[in-house]
Amino acid sequence: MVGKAKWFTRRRYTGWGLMPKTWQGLVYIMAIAGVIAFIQALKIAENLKLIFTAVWVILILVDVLHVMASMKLDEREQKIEAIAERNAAWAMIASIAISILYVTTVGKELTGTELMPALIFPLVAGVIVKAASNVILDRKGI
Amino acid sequence: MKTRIKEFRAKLNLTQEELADKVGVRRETIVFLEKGKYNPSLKLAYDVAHALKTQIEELFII
Repeated sequence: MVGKAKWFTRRRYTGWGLMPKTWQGLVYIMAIAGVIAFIQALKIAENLKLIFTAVWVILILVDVLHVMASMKLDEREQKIEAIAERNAAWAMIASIAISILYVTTVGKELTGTELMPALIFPLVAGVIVKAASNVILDRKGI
Repeated sequence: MKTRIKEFRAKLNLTQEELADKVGVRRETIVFLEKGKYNPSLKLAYDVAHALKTQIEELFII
């Protein structure tokens, strides 16, 4: 594995994933973007570009998951993360229910772009609730 | 819950970072413990008391 836990912190207020903490973390992020840009710049068939990009993304995902798994949280951080993630999950479930209600109420076949808000809404709701939970738990204490 | 962690930490001349390293938690957790904004598990309370060379009852005041 390439990424190291000490290069990153966990995202708490801006969704899920990692934030670079050191210059090595920043270089890691830039390298990911650089390889994707390189693949896109290659003069090869589009479906080959897609395959290479997909393989690269899968490799990065495995590395990022390994980094996140090796980040040790102390008991306070574990409790706060568990509560924040639970709250975010409930917000996303509620948002999905609202989205389904909206789609069925509209009563017509929705195209891809018309469906996008219904897909993005739960993600945004999850991010907002997770961030709010982290802020409140940090201030109020547990 | 009130704590006397800061008082005992000062007696041993330890920084929050040093105490955190001894106990195996983040410095932020020690900050929250000192402010009484986090109720630790029994194990953590014991580890902190042990690191500060005192008893749990001396350190945490309910």
